[in-house]
Amino acid sequence: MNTPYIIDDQEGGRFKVARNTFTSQEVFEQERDRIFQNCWLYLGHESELSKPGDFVARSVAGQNLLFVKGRDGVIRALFNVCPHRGATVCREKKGNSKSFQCMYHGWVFKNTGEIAHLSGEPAYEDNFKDDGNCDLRHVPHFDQYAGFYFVAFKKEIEPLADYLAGAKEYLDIVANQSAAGMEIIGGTQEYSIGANWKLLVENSVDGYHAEATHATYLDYLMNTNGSLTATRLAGKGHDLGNGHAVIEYSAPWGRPIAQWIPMWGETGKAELDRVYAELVERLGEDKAKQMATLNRNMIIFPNLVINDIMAITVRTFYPTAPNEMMVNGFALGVIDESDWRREYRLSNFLEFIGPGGFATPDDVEALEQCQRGFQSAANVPWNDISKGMKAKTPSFDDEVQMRAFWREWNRRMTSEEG
Amino acid sequence: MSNENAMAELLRFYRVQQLLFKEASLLDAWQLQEWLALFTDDGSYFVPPTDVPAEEADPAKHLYYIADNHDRLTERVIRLDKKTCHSEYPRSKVQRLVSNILIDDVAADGTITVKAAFTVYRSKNGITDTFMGNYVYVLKEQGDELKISRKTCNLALNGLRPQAKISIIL
Repeated sequence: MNTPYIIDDQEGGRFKVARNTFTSQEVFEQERDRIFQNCWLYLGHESELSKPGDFVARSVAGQNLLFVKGRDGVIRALFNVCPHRGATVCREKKGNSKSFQCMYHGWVFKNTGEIAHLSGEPAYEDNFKDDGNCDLRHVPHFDQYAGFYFVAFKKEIEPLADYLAGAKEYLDIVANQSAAGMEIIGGTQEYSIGANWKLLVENSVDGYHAEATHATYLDYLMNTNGSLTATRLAGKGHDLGNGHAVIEYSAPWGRPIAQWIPMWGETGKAELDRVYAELVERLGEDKAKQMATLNRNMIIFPNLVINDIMAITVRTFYPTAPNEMMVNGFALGVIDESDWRREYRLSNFLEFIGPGGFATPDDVEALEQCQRGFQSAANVPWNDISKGMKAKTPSFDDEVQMRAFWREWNRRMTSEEG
Repeated sequence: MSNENAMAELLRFYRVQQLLFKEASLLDAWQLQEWLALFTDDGSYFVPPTDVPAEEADPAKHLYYIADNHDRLTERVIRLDKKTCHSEYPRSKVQRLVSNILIDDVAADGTITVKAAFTVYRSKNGITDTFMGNYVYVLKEQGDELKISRKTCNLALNGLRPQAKISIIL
């Protein structure tokens, strides 16, 4: 590409992104090296591994990983790749196991990654497996913050806590919604979208599109007592540093923590009052109010979205081609919540979020239509992301959060060291 | 089996088959209000996740794709009839094939559990998506009519790749 990727004219209040960043094979390949090999990437949540031997096999940036709690109680991230000839070792998506056997030549690994049985061992040199070359390999960097586990492949990388920058404060808000902790609820929404992955980054933190794209969802809220009609969509956008950003705003829909709506009746009101009282006691009035009544859509650079809205979704996605991404969507809930609250949390999730919700299908349509439009990139070359660029306090429906992402993306894609 | 029993079973099967085929026909024609009228007043509609075994999946405990009680199912139909339902306006073309109909159980109160296989094709923007799987219906007599009390669509897929979304009724 000969043109710049972005035009960032702060004086003139104009921010443009080149549409061929969404279509170019060259950009796609550079992203693999400069973004996905070089950043901390989300792997999984601590609640997915409660007992020793619990494992989840997951693909991260196209690499098959094993997220596993060993019999020693230690949580690890291993390459789910046989050190012998490269076959995928664990072919189940999740479960509990003391060991993993490669189906090709029968090597067996402990759930700590160490070789347990080298088939045909007498034919190898003595001490052949003692130097670790027969063990499953560890992902170079593995760390967690507030129960969210991340991996990084680059040899040298800044510590996770530094990388997360201002996003830590907002991860805490998600992680501290109960003294007992949070958990990923069983059942994953796995889907693909025929659009560039960066379109979903933008869309996940886009407060501007709700009224046009999601008109039918807002109608639904009005039809069903699913809203507090006096509560307006209003709030702010924040650049959290290192490409991370959040919008924080009030909204009319119900929140299982803890914004009641008429549909939930008196039982629901009593329960959410109790939830709120506990928050105030544990965290103080200000934090409790922020946690309970405000919604947050957050992007953690490059591809983790945590949206604490009518329910909490954790979503991560990877490009498989310039015009295709794979998405994994999870629901996060409070570990010790009542059956009633869990049921309403899931019900709330499904009314908006995910492939069968009243909103996500229209987002998918929008993203795929953008991707089609980008076929004209040679003639209509620029996207505009200027909204609220000169505002002192950017609104939630301005675009400061997308500019934060794009500036970091551009920095990494154009820096000398690569 | 007596002739009488055999005739009763045949008639029951015929009624079930007619209901399922009529349902498919109404959905293919986008006659969604008429489709909704095939449900009981408390009828519900579910699409479970693809990574939880069908016999374990529970909408109160697992993240589904769709879990509609009758109120939300009604709202889904209202939404799908609007021009602002962008994913389905302009409307896609859809074609359902329903087969392998099996009456699984007939309870003492006349409630019938039915299994069937489905393929649903959806074409839009030059792309055809295929959804396949099995239906589990709970059917109840209401007046002289057999109605759908519960419809579950178990997808025989590893996720919605490449379908992306379930913007139609399966």
